[in-house]
Amino acid sequence: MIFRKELKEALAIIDNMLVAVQKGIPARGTTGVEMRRVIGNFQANEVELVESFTIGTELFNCFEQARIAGATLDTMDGVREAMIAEQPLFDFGKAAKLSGMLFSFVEQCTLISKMVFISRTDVEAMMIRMNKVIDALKLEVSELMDGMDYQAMTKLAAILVQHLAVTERKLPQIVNYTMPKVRSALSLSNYFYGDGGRFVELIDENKIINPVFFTRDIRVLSE
Amino acid sequence: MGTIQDANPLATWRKRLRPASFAGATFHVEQQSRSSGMRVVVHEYPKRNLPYAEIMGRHAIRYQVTGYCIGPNYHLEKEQLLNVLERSEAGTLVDPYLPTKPLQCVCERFSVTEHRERGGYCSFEMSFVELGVVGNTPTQNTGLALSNQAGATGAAGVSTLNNAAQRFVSGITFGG
Repeated sequence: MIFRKELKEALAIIDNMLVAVQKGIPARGTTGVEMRRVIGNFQANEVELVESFTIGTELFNCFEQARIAGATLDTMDGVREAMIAEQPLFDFGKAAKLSGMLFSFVEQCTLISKMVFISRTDVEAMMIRMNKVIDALKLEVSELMDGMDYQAMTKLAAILVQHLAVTERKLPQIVNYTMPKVRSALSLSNYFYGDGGRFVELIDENKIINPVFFTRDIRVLSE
Repeated sequence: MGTIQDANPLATWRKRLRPASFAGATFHVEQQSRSSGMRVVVHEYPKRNLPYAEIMGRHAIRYQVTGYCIGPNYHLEKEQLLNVLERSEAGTLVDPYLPTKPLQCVCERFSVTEHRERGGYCSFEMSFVELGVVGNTPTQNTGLALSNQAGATGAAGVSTLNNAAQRFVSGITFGG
């Protein structure tokens, strides 16, 4: 009887995890079709996967497919929050919770490794965000982990911080400017960068609707 | 007309002299000094008479040059020299006394002085520092390292859950 409860608890945690993973990805259409197939397969064969000891492999595959389908950092934050809310009583459930949190962090790191940052400010914001994630992970799952898992997680966290620090060093800074009068994007691009062709960067950075009338308070790159 | 190199044929140092220049702009040298040396940290230990001077690498080579431009076309030479001193690039500094070792330098600071009483003449005070090479350039592809480690950590998570499944199934088997 107790085994049935343990299995039920773990599978419920995993189902919640998979609901959170799919958030933000269209539920129909060609986008994410492979993810839906993999997750559907997983949910149909959960018990068999437990019996064949391949539930971890297939669950990670679901996360990978979700990332490929367009899951974002926010999606993975959602997974982690859902996992933090879980309070499993049995070991299998605890392992499921731990894996969910670990997989969400892994996917976030993979997403970051492929990101293109424009300015130091972007990287700093990412660093602050990910530091919170790392702290939360250490707080929540360190007692559930064995030595090898903990080492793998801290190594990933260290390489993430190193990657962000190295990326930051190569980028220009964001500088805030207040112009004396309203000017167009083209003239501002020429004024700041000596190159009218970079007006799109200014529009994107300042979220301008009409590029002829730029706001007076603007953010520009230092280079 | 002879040059200073012909003044004493036995003085070989005169034959080695070459016109001084920076980034191709020539000037005459009134005086110059070159400085460098080792960066040293001296460790002095309590109750020991012998210190240890740890060599931490060479100081950058610096030149302090007092030069001048002279003659009916001195203003053209001056302008050429000003152009290369004020641009944001390094240039080759030819030391007239050490012409075999031209050095890539950057001008840190300079001043040019002209006197009403000295027509056709201007003097330059110039400080140069060795350019060297860019250091501490990150060559490691941290994005790739991050991606690889993410895979390794993911694999650790996978084995955690697979092992938990194995323990759970074994528990059922042995526990009934």
